[in-house]
Amino acid sequence: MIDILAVLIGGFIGAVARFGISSYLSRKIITSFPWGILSVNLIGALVIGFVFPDNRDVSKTSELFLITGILGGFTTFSTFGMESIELLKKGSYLHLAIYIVVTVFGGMLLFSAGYLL
Amino acid sequence: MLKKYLFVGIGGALGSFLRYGVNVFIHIPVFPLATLSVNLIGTFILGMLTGHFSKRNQPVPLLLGTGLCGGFTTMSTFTAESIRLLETSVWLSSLYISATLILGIIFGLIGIYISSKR
Repeated sequence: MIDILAVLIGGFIGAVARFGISSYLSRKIITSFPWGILSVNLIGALVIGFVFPDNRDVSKTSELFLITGILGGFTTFSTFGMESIELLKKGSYLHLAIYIVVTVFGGMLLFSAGYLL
Repeated sequence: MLKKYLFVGIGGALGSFLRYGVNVFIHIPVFPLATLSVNLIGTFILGMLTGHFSKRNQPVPLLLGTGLCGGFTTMSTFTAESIRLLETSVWLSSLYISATLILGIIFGLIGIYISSKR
């Protein structure tokens, strides 16, 4: 029961933070490039590297709260997919390639950086 | 303004809970099939919602799209799993990454296509 509550509350916090940060960034930086979700996903990669269970001594409930809940709700794949499709439809192939490569490989680098911190 | 955050938060809580449920039911040690499944299903559903609702900043798209699909799918766990796989097999890790990206875009496109046909 406490585990389910940890996921629900974490997911609530993560999604609200994602919405807040991505809407703030897309208001501040007016371009067609999806900065908001890119930033959210990169921050999420750094933090999950830092709190990864192989790395830190975390209890099952804290793992569910932090990783499954907060970070899972904060980062998103579905919106990343939609924004990639939008870039594809517009024919912005360079932006599409940069967006995908930075999200995936930049994310992996930041994960490693977080892990080593 | 506060209401918007409430819609996103409730959707995000439900989405994360459903993702947790999928992880409990699908558990294969060698390949992250659970995360691959939630990411493909979530992108498909968001595609259908995107095709159906033209305005994103309304209660239903905020609850079901930004909240539920956003919270159901995850990039952070995908990244962690890609690295974990890389430690055991470069081949499996590359397969996981390319399957997620290519199928994710295809599932999203199918979702958009289906909802635009109705």
